[in-house]
Amino acid sequence: MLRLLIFASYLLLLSACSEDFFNQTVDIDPPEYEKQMVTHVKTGINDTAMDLSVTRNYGVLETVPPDGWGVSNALVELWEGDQKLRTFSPEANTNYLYITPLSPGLFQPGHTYTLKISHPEYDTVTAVQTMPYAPAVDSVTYDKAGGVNAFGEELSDIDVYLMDTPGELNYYEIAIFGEYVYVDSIYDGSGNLISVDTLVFESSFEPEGSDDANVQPGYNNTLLISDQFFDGKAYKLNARLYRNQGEPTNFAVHVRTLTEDYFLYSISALRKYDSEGIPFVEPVSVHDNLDKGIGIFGLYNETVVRVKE
Amino acid sequence: MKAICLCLPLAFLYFLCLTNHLSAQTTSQKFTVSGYLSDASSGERLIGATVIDKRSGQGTVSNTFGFYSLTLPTDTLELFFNYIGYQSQQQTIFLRENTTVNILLEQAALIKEVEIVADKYERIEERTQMSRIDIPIEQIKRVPALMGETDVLRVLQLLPGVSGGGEGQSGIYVRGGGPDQNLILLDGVPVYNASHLFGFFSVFNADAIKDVSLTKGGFPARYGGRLSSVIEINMKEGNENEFHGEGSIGVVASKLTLEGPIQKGRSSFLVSARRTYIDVIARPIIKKSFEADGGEGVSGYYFYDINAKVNHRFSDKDRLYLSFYTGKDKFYLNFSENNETPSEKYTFNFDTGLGWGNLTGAVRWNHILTPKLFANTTFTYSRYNFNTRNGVGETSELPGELPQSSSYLLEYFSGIDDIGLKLDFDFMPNPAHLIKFGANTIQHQFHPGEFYTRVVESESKIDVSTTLAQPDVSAFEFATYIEDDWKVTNRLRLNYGLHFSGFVPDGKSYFSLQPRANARYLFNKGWALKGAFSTMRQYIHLLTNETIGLPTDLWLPTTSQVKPQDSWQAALGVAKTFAKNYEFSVEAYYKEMDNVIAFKEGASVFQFDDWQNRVVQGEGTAYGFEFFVQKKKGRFSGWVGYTLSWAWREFEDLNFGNRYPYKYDRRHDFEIVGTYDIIPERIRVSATWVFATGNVATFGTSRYQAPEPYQNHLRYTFVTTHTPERNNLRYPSYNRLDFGVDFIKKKKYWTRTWSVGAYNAYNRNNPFFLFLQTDVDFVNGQAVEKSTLRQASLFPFIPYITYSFKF
Repeated sequence: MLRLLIFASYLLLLSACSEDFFNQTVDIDPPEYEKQMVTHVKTGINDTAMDLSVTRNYGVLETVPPDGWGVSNALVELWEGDQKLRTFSPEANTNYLYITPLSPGLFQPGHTYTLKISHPEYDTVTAVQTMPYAPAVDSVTYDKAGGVNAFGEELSDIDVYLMDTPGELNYYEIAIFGEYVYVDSIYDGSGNLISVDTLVFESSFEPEGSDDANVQPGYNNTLLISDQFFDGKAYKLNARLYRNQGEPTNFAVHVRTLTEDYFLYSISALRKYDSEGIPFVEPVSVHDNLDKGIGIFGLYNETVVRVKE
Repeated sequence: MKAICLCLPLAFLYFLCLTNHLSAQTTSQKFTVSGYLSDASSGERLIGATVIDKRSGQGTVSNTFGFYSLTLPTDTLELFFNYIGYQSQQQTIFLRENTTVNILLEQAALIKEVEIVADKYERIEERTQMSRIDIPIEQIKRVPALMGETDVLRVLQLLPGVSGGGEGQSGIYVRGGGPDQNLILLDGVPVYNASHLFGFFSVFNADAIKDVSLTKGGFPARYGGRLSSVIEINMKEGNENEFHGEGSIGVVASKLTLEGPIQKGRSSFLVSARRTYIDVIARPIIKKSFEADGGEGVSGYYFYDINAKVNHRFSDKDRLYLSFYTGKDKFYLNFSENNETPSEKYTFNFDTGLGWGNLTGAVRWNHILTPKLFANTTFTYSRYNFNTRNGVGETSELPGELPQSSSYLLEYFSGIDDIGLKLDFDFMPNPAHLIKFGANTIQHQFHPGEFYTRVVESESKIDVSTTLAQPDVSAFEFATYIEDDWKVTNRLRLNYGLHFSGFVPDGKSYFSLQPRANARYLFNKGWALKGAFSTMRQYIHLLTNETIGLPTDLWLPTTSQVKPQDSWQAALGVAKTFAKNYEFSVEAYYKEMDNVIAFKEGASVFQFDDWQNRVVQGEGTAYGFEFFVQKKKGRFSGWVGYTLSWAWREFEDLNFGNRYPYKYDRRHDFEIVGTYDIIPERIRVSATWVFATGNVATFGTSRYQAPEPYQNHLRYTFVTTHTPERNNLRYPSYNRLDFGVDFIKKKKYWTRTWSVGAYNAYNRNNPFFLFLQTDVDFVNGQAVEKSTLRQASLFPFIPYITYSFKF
């Protein structure tokens, strides 16, 4: 009996040894997705133009054709209530960028704006944002000798003093630009100096990591701050700059108030970007505020303070 | 809170004195019959055996150490002693003084067992407590097992309300709780990591185990420290009458258990060991493989367990137990390669390893203070540690020059050490009350992680070593409890109590008072309505990556930043025993959990920063129905279980603050387990079939272009995936059939068993994980990417054959 059963077991095993029997991976259907338009736009109250891209998403298994991301011939509009403020024009030489000029005063603090993107092949995308009020910046100071970091490298300090509005959630973004002077000397073919041009340009400055629990890194080397822990109080942001990034003498400190949607998007999108390709990392959900679309429409108000040594 | 902490033990004593006093006053003509119930052949104590006086109808149940106590008026008593699977015994005594009656019960002949005992043991409808399941170890050993290796935790996964982590995993997830929310006690000692072989086997060697119970709700006040379940595993004590042994030789491991008397009738020992030997068998093949690649090396993996227990009866009132467990897993890979040319002699060495293990020890002293008061004092020690090592070295020797060498070493250690002391009292003032009270303390020492690196370079004369360690954390945990199992009337029974606990990590104190209650009402036709409410608190947390089977479990304490986990659970159900031997129950439960722990979005177990900054705390909710029919003994035994459940998580910082299904949320979970003696004590067949809704995972549903964070223009983009919500993808359902046949033959001095069977008999491709596979095709000279979503499975049809013996 025992032999019979052992034999039967092995017979079952051998009979099952077809080519795919031990193939332990099989194709399965991916989750369904909705074909949607995608846009990412962040506009400041003082911007002179508003541009955005309109693209589409593809299923995880779909092959993207060449130049397949862009959505051309989309109708992009900016509305305030029932009043259409702008219709965007396609940018030349692309099939996905749209732009419209902005005139001073078009955006007003406390006013609500709707971005609307339509295309016959997609559901119409809408997003609503209210322009924040300008940040109450008391002062900004700069101290070239700001100490040293853990590696003994010299740092400079920029301190931003804010007064937060009480009773509401406020979100801030600080961007620091160093002003660099570039002397462009032009010589002729014989090595003779023809002219000297002095150019001034700004480049974003990446602050050192901060121990401040209110501060998180944002897009383009910015610092993001929520007033969760200092609602209605004075707040001092200390940004420490690594001096070897160059030695600008002047700094332009952009202090912005952000919409909550853009604040949440910035944090989550950056976290997602940083975790791309890392195995065993926890999944990141990216915040968005487009109805029937993917992406973000964000607004900010801004105060720029220039400081020098 | 400190006042409560101090007052509760005093209240116990007062209560004790008062009850004794009242008892003495009002029952001056009452006396106590007490003693131990044991297996006649081995002397093993019988847990949960019933003692009933047929004349008065009063009865009691033996405790964890087989002790019983019954206080009745002076009279002639007709005592019946019953235990499932054993022949019942009757004794008539005239009770006119406190009397000790120790009983030895004979195991029933299998075929007669139903008629002899089935209607006398404590049935499910008689028990006050709900949400508790006891599985006889003999039944566990009959269930077909992966590679023939009997696994206690894997059998528990086959019970309603319990799910395993994933394919092949021995993890336990109870009623929507996490893997850290199970208190696994081996002889009363917490075991922190209960898995071998990356989670495929549990650490419990079934040959050394006496009984297993799972409590998943309605927690009596004596339990505490975890939110979701208590799994109590008691080791055998060792046969105190005769020398016996058993063992087996299987596909992956062999084991041997020896037990016998040290001093006949007074003391006994048990030693059990198990080891895998794939590494030994595969060593020559692996060695050849390295040699074929032009090097030398060795690689392997093994685990082992050693259980040992000694007990000694000093007197009728005192007994001492010493129990010990150690187990370890080790993976190693050493490889070296020599390249010798006329111009250079080059050597390369690679050395990596991974090890983890538990060590537990317990000293238990039973003392009968009075015939009504039983005391157990336990001193425990538990340690879990994990370490990994990666080393690379190379040496280069050029003619006429000094050899140059360099080596890099990275080692990592983490773990936890516990020392504990417990005092537990069982007080049985009269047949209507069984009062348990006690206190325990644990001194935890957490080792959150230490990295050691060493770099040696001979050319530049560098020899630098660095230790990067998160500081050890000490914490003191204590608890005290009192509970009463009160037979209010023949129909109504209550178990109610209070559990008070505290936790003192560095510079911070937490306290919690947790009320517990179970109630049972017995209707006319044997149906029992049961209800339970319990609150629980958990002070220690487990940081683990649930996506991989690596034993990187990091146990960490509650701190000022990370709060303790709390829960409350309510359950309602009915129970009845049908046809004398079929226990049936249906339960509905609702559980809420606060401060459950999870990794932040974007965090990973492999980060080196402060663990407290990598976690978030939120809420969990679980509810469902459980259906269970069990037949514990007989020619046919087994159970059918079905669970309909929901499990949710909600964290402010995850999934946009929206509720999402827990990773192990399973709508349906169905299991059938059956064993049948075709020819009793000769041929036995067993089978298991499980069906479960698939787990959930987070999966991007589409791809889109997003702006590059460090490029300030829309033209700079990268392609990323869009995930509408967390755990949005449901894996395909899981189902599997296992079967086994045992051929048993009794020889003159021993019994041998051949077991053959198969895991996943119809070779179902059950999901282990999903992945995207991208292949590149060339169409008209153009590279075209084609992606497919693939499901990887782990275990195909796996036959096994095991030879076991018993003498």
